[in-house]
Amino acid sequence: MFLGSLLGLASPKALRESGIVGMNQRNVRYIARNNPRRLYPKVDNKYLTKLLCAEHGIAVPKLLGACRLQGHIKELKEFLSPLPCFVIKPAQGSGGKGILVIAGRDGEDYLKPNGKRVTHDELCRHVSNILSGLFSLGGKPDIALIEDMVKFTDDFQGFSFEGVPDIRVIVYKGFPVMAMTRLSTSDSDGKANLHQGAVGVGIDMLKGVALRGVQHGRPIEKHPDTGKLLSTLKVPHWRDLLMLAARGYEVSQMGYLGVDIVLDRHEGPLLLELNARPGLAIQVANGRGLRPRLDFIDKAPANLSYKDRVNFVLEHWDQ
Amino acid sequence: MLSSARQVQLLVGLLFVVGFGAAAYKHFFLGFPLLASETETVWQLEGRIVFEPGEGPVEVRLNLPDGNAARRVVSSDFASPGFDYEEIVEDGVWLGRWKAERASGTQVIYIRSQSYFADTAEEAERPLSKPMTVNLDDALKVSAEALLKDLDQTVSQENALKILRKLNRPGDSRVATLLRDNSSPAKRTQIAGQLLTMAGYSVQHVRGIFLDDKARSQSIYNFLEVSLGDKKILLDARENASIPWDRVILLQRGDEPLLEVFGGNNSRTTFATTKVQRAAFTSAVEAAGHAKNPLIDFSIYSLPLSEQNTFKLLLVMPLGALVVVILRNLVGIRTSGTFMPVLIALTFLQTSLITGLMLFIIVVGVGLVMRSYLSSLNLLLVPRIASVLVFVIIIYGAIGVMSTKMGWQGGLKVTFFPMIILSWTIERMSILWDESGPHEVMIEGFGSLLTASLAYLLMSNSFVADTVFLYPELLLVLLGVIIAIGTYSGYRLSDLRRFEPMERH
Repeated sequence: MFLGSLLGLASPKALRESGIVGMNQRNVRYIARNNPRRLYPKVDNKYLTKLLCAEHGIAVPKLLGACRLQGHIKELKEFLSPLPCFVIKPAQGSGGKGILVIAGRDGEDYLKPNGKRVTHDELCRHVSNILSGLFSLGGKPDIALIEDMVKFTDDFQGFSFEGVPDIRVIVYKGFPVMAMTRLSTSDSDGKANLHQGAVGVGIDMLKGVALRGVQHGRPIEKHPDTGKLLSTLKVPHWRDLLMLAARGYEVSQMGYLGVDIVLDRHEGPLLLELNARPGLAIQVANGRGLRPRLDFIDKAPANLSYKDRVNFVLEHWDQ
Repeated sequence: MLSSARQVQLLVGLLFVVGFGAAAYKHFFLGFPLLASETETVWQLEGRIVFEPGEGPVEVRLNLPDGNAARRVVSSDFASPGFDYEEIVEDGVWLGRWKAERASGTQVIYIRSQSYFADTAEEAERPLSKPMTVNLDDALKVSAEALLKDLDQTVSQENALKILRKLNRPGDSRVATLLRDNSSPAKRTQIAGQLLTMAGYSVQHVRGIFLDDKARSQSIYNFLEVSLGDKKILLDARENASIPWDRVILLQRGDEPLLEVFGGNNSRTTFATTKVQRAAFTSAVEAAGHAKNPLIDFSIYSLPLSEQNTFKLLLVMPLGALVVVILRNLVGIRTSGTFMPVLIALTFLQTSLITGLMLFIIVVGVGLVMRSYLSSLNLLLVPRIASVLVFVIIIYGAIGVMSTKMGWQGGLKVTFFPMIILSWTIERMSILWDESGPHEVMIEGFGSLLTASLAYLLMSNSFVADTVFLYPELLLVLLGVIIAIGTYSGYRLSDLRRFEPMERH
């Protein structure tokens, strides 16, 4: 018997057999080989991503404005006054850091989705932090983007606590290979970040229905806050969503890509952001390793259009 | 063009071969010890030649120490004002020659060398150059045969010493006959050699200096080199004893004179020997330097001693980097800042581990509390970190003053910590706290300190540090290991933990 199982460790052999991709393999084999360094700004800078998406006619949450200089902060009050709800995020933030969602107003104050108040001074400080590079990689000076808040579809009612669930699709060489949705919980403070306690639910690639859920790396059946059965979750517009994910490849040219998508009530799937270093927790949420699917795509025909790529996946995937 | 994986394999292989090869060369051929703590004996031999020059040109010839395969000369010099010196080989004999057109008054020439013996087995295996033949007259021959008659005829060190003992036994008439006109040490040794030759040994009469600590005015001793078939021993005919090869320096192997002075008279020579104990690698380095070995001539040993010590510290840094690589890429531990733990480990070298850990936790802990106030002040990034830097200095000062007042000098060591690194650590941890909560801060903080402690334990190990200092080429091997890990695409220990739930389902 493998000694490690006493220590709560999996055996490397079992992981290899189920095709789990580890951190080193992801970094060496997939990221280093498929994502050339020069392409990183396209995805690390959300402002640039938005411009590229616009060129390709890809739907994104509407950009309302950008704050580039500390001096512009005093103009924020006037700029924001007609906007009931909006999102402020750093253009070069990583891991969901520095995103401030404002869902409403209460007099002079702003309200977060969970009802907490944010004063205008606090909001200005947040923008100032963004500009001085607090949330960007390496502390580089950054710009703050002001986006329309996504009117989230009702299909996820009861599956998310106080936050906007998003759908993460791993796109390998342009083919969508694995997907999960990330549901915020009270643990995760309304953030859809698995590290912080959000629930990850693996999604069947063919039908868009839930496979299984995990929180803190452990399998769960019900949403911890709302008690809703996770297995009843079904993502609407699934085919459109896969098409959008596949088009992330045309935008970024990156071979190993994480595409984050939200579903807007009126506009359907919107591309939220691209990630050049997508995490591996998606394997736990799906209960499957990425390796067999990536190997399969390695043998797939090249130079297909995004529609053909999605069709290829839908035709050949056995689950 | 080779694939990158193939290139890495080749490069790693090359680094291993070059690194280990150079180290092996230094160990086996230049006599570098395995451990820096090994000591060995270095013998200083000082020769003093005194003579009265006559009119006209003067030439002095001194027989220099014969080649001994085991002997390594560390340094040699001489003092002979007014004389030209050169070393020559004449009839297979190595000579030092001093020449001057004229000289007046009593002349003194000093010659000095330092040497050590690396491996005496080598010398014991060399054959005799000119074994003696029996040339006794008939009368002596009869006495000698009579003396040898009742002795064991097999060739061995034991039996050879028995013959010598017989020759030295007073009162024996045969011995008295043999030594009647041959009582001087040289003649006596010659007779002993004849006896051994007659008994079937291969023998050579040699002269040299006995290495004795603080022996002044040493004279030349007579020895017998005796071949016992597969090995050669050195016997002292007077003391009936075998002399180890590393206790003598042989000057004369044949009949050549020890000292010749042309154009002078009243010459004499004396030798002084002194024993010096020192680190084994110093001798190896100096011997290689003396032989102008490029590997040593262009190495850090050619630097002044104080700079060598600086490099001694720098050379252990890659070990710390290796620990970081292993813990991050093979184990999967998260640290705050990639190489921050190495710098902290370097600080631990100055402060010692426990003191260092305490001081680090105090500074970062207090710093985090002070920094949490800054969060609410709405400062720009650079002024904020600058403020943290000032906080850090204030904390240093407070710890220094308070610990001294309380009678604990250890607190003053806080100044060894790199301030900028600590400021950034505090800043990063504070942001992590705001974003991900104290749990993440604890994980990263613990990971950093664990990494720093392990790096410290490796870097502070004197065996490891000395080995790297003696064999800096091993850093190439280390580089090979790091590059190899750089292409490792297997699971990390943390992957095994993280994907463990999947195995169960």
